[in-house]
Amino acid sequence: MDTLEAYEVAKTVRSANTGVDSSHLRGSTTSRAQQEGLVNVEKYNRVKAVLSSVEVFDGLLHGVEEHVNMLKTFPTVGPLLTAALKLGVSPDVAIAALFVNDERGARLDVAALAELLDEAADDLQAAGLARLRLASPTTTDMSLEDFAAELGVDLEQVRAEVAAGTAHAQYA
Amino acid sequence: MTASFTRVFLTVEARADINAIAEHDVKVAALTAMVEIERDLSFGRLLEVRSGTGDLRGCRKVYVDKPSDDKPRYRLVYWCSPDERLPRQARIIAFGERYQLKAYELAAERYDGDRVSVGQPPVDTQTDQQLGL
Repeated sequence: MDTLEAYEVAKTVRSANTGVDSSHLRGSTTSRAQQEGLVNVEKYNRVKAVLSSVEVFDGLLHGVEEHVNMLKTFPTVGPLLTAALKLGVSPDVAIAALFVNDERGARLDVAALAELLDEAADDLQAAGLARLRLASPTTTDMSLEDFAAELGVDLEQVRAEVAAGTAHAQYA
Repeated sequence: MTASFTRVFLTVEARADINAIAEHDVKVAALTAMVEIERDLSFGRLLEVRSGTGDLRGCRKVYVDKPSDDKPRYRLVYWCSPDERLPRQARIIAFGERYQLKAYELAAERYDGDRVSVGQPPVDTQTDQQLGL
């Protein structure tokens, strides 16, 4: 029984409109439900309710709770998957991170997907930095002394003129 | 003044910009402006983020030209490494005509690469505080 079916069953059991009053149930019915887990309560050959054991009912409620939690995660899954594609994460890898099936059962692990995106973003940033480093000049920078020599200008004289405010240039 | 030699560095690209100018007096004027920067690393006016010029936070500009009654025709763009709070050296990254913001365009192309070459992160990953502004 999947979680959606479990939800429907639990809803039926809990409904006030089943037309079945528990005081009208035979003791043997409740005993059988406790033994078998689930028992259909019929009236005029139509199933009016489903009676369950306490353990089964708790299990159903737990299933419903998990189902509701899964539904709550759906709004965040879409944007995360979109972001994953933009970051270059393959859909297979993103889906594999999102869907988990272990001893706790099948579920959506949004945190794992978010972590995958975080790592992909870091990789992308590192790649960008590497590109910038490759593009950065490999030749050495030039000092003012070397540049002045290249121009054939006496740097000390220029320094003296700047200090005296008599430089032959306009700058501001 | 020997110690001050290391306070200003002319990048290869900026040197090519200056050498591309035909007028020798303009080249000398650029050198003179750099000497002024050597005396005061905060000589130029700070730039910022503009839609037309990109993210040039941490860069400074200086108008330069040979002696004339007209407005200076060139801009020199530099930034102080490692940051504005504790500047140790000025790095001249672009020199170009004021017309059509040429120097800003060149500076925007080169700024991040030059930052990374001296071990600083790209400007767009830094807050104003991290840039020492």
